[in-house]
Amino acid sequence: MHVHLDGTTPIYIQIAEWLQHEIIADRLQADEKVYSQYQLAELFNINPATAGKGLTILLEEQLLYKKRGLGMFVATDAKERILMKRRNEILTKMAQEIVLEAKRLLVSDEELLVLIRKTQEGLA
Amino acid sequence: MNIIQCEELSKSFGRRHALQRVTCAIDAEKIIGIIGRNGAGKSTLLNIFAGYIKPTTGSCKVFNENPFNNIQTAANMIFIDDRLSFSDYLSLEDILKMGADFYPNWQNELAYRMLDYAGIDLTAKHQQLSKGQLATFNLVYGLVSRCALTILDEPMNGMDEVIRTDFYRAILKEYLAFPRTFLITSHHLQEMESILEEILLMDEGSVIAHAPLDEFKEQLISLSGPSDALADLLSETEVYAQKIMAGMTSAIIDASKLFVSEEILRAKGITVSSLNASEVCKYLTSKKGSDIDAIFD
Amino acid sequence: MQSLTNISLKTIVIKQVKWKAKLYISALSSLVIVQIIFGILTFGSGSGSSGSGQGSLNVQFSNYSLDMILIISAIWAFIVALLFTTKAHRIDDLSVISSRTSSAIANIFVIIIYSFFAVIIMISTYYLQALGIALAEKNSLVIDNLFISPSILILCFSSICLFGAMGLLLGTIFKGPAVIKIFVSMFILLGLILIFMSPGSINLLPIIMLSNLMISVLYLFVAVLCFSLTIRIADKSEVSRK
Repeated sequence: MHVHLDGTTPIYIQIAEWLQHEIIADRLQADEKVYSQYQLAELFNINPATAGKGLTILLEEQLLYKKRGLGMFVATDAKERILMKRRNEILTKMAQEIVLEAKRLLVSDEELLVLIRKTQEGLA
Repeated sequence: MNIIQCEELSKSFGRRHALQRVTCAIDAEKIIGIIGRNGAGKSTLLNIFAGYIKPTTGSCKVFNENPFNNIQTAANMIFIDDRLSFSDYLSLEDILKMGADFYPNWQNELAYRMLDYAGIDLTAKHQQLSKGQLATFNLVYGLVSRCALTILDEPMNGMDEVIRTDFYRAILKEYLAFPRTFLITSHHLQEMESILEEILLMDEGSVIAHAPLDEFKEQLISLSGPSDALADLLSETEVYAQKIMAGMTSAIIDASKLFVSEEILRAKGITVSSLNASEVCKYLTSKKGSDIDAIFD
Repeated sequence: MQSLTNISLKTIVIKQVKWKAKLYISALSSLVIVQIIFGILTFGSGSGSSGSGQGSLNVQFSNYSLDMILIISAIWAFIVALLFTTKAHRIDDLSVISSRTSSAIANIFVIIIYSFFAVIIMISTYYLQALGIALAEKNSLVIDNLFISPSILILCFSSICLFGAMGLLLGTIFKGPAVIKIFVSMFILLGLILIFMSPGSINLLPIIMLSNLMISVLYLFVAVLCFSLTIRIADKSEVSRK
């Protein structure tokens, strides 16, 4: 059980990411109870308020839901939604970087598209 | 709920102004780091909270009462620092017995287990302990007393790194087991950062920031990129530190005063990075434009 | 929110007295040692050492030795009380639940308890000395009054208590707020000036002429005054481990 808590990314975001990772890897199943903020605090040696903030992020994104008095549970469609979100976010960011780098290297738009197509064929 | 409330609190020792018009409130059941350079007024503030000294002007309420010479404050507060001392006639075991006699929430068995873990001999005398053992014993004494307000002034001074890591965890576990307010000062912010909920930053006798840890860290950001691209941006905002080297500039600025999106910055070749808590403390408390490099120029 | 602990001043004072009385028990043993040393010294110097020469030599000796023991005990009480107010003790008090008020009251009680024990030690020393002299001189007439009257016991207790109280007050004054320090220094200075300017103005004769019991009451009254001043000043004193 280890997450590298580096100094610059806020800890609560790292906790949210770790939980999402656990959901993708099926270690936290749909409708299963997730760790409480106190368990997370103990697990990662962090303040429970920080752990709570991480859980709140997922709650706001409706990846978790609350049962009164019982704690938080994984939403039924959490896994698909995380995968979808990651696809969008990560690919958009990577595409941005490719376009920027191409500009810096004076690669024309056509050349870039050709390159992408070629890469796709190569991997297929 | 607030357990401490200070209004316009000042304290002078002769001509020296140790605290100047401090207004702050401390919530119950939080672990709060009190950070500041040497002489920033941390100890003076903590001594007022503990009821050891009187404010010169202004007011301070702890548990809704004036803490000075107040037995109710004393019964619910413990102040641990490296000057904690006990009579020469007491062995450590006797000290634990005495603690158990005074403090109603005392955990004697836990004290034995922790001291055994740290390899401290209970038949020893308090003043015979090495610096690290002394700090460990004092911290254990503070933890097992389970006071609603636990003040730890540089609790890890003199401990080696392994024990320090263990005892930050011990503080956290004790907090989870028995929630209470911890006020911890330390020069090793990075080590204890993860267990903190809030930071209270002091400089020259004033509280200059008091916020949840993440908010605190996010108030400053670092920008670096080509000097000409950054020049305009920096002229419009408050710059905490700036370094120019070979046409590249890196600067620390107030995040709330940056109105340009990260995408636009990236397009200009400027990278944005966040800082860790101790860097933010450093930049907020250092004199504007002062830099050790300047001495050697 | 965890409920706060509610402890009365009385409970804390009792706990503090218990621990302090136990911890500084060595102060009492130091009194025993000092008295034994003085006992041996006066014993060695013989019974004729006092010289005012009124009444019989034997009676004079027994008075002389109890006075000596009392003076030693009073000085001892003063020093012990002064030690109670030193920084080391004050800082030790901060390690447990205490306030300046509770610590001052606890110190007062410990001084009273120790004064009581000091009287017992005094009496034992006195009888031991008498026994020693009786054995050494083989003269049963040396001691003609082995019975110490209760009024003398009360006088001993009250004088030891008074000196203890003065020690506490003095120690507390010099740890207290600057205003009080200045005030007391002025007071002492004025007193000294008065004594030197007109030595005749202070007449101690009426006090000396009083009965033992009256002197005791007077002493205890002054002691109580010192005690209450001690508490008052302690209430206003700041304390710090630095």
